[in-house]
Amino acid sequence: MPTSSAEPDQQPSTAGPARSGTQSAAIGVRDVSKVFANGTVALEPTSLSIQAGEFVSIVGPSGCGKSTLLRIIAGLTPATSGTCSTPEGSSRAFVFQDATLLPWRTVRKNAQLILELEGFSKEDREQRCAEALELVGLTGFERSYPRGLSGGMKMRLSLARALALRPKLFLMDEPFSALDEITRESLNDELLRIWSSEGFTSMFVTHNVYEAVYLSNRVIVMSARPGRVIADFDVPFAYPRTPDLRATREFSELAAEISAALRGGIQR
Amino acid sequence: MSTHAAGALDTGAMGAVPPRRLVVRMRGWAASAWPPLIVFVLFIGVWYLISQTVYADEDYLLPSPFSVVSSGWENAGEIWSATKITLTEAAAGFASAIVIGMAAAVLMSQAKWLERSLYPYAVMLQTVPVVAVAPVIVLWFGYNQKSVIVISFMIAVFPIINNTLLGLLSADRNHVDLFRMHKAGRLAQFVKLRLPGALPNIFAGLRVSAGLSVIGAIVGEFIIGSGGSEGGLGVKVIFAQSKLDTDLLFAEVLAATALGFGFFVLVSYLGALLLRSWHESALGADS
Repeated sequence: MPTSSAEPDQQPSTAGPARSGTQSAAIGVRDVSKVFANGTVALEPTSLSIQAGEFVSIVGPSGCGKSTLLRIIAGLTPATSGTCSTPEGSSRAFVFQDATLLPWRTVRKNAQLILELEGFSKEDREQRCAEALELVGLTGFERSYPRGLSGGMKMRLSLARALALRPKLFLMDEPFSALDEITRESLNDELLRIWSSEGFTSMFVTHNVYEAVYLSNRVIVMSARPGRVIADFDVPFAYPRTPDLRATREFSELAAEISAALRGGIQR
Repeated sequence: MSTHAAGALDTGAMGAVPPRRLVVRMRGWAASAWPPLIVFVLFIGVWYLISQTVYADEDYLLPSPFSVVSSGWENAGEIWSATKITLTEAAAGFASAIVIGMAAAVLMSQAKWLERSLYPYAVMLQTVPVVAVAPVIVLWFGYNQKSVIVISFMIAVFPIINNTLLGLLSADRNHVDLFRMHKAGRLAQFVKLRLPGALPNIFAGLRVSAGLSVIGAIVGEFIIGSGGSEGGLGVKVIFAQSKLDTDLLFAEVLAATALGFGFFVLVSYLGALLLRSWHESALGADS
């Protein structure tokens, strides 16, 4: 088991050699830790490097610090120690667990919110917002209010709001966990389609191993509190992926292997 | 299936086939208008019965509703001009409560230490017995409408401060994070997030304060008296009482009630207008 490894970023045998270089790292996390004011260690010193264009998922039990790690990378939470670097000027977008829409704004105005805050011109906003809504299939709903949308559509709008920024880094904190399985699976496919067409780097936090394997080219497993990286799996399946992949033996085997690593991390 | 059956039943009973939507909407109005109407009729009926039986010989204690209406009708001009005076005072008190109350809430929402230092005094403004400090108010502002407005303000301001502050402070944490992450400053956060998010709370406070401002104006008039001028409803009520003219007294109380009710309806309407597109409190039954 890789669970006993002392080096948090040491990769188990499943990891490929592709990530030895750091020249095109989109996210470089070095010895980042987080201790909360009450003394709780949320995250032990953690290092990892994510290449540009990768789709990396982080799985772990609740309270393992995976969201904390994502928030540190997003700049929302300061790290207690360590450094976190992203290339100069790379735009970041964050998608929360709930859609965090502003109920008094229409779909169109919600999709433009980040652009407004970032000071984009009106023409830019209109154009990017129309493109982003098109991308998530919400064209035609511009004048609706969020209360009229289903849970899945709200999350699509939340994605569109982030996509309108055309981010280089797309950070997602369990974005589909509140949705039913059918909606979640269709949004998984949408997200993969958008990711391959837009080419951003994705970091996706989830507690759903199957979702992580289906989406990612790499799955990082974290242990229960205090959180640390205990395994790093390559997902060898080629893109574009289709729902049939979920029914294959290789998919199940990899998911089982990751689940086992996850269990090892909990029982530690 | 079930809606079909209901539709067939309706049209069958009515014979004709009117546009269903209109029928539904009218039924909605009727459904919401009937209950208070029934209560009104019952209330008037019971009032009338009691005035004709228990207080049959002492109609200065409880006049019948009809003599109240006729007294109101006879003195309509006087009541109207008194109502206008009270309306002006209450409106001025309410307006200053909105401006000062909201400004205070905005200030307190900016920093925890400001809230901690100022909020207790806002509470005291609410708990101080107005009647007891009235002499001081009169000393400062004189026996005139200014004092009445100050008293109306004092009674009306707290719900506005309290609800506005609550609304401004209850912005969703994730929303705040989103704004912070995209370099939104204090002003952008206030204008685009906290203020619109606080509107339902603000209007909840305004609805309470609307009625309170009228009560405050009348209490003020009680204390200050006519102040040499004509005087509003509070003055008239005391005057009617001293003459044991209970019919007129009741008519004036009704006018004061209607005034407060009018304030309330106006504020509620404005709130519904602003919030109807998104907030649950202002959504119609059909949406």
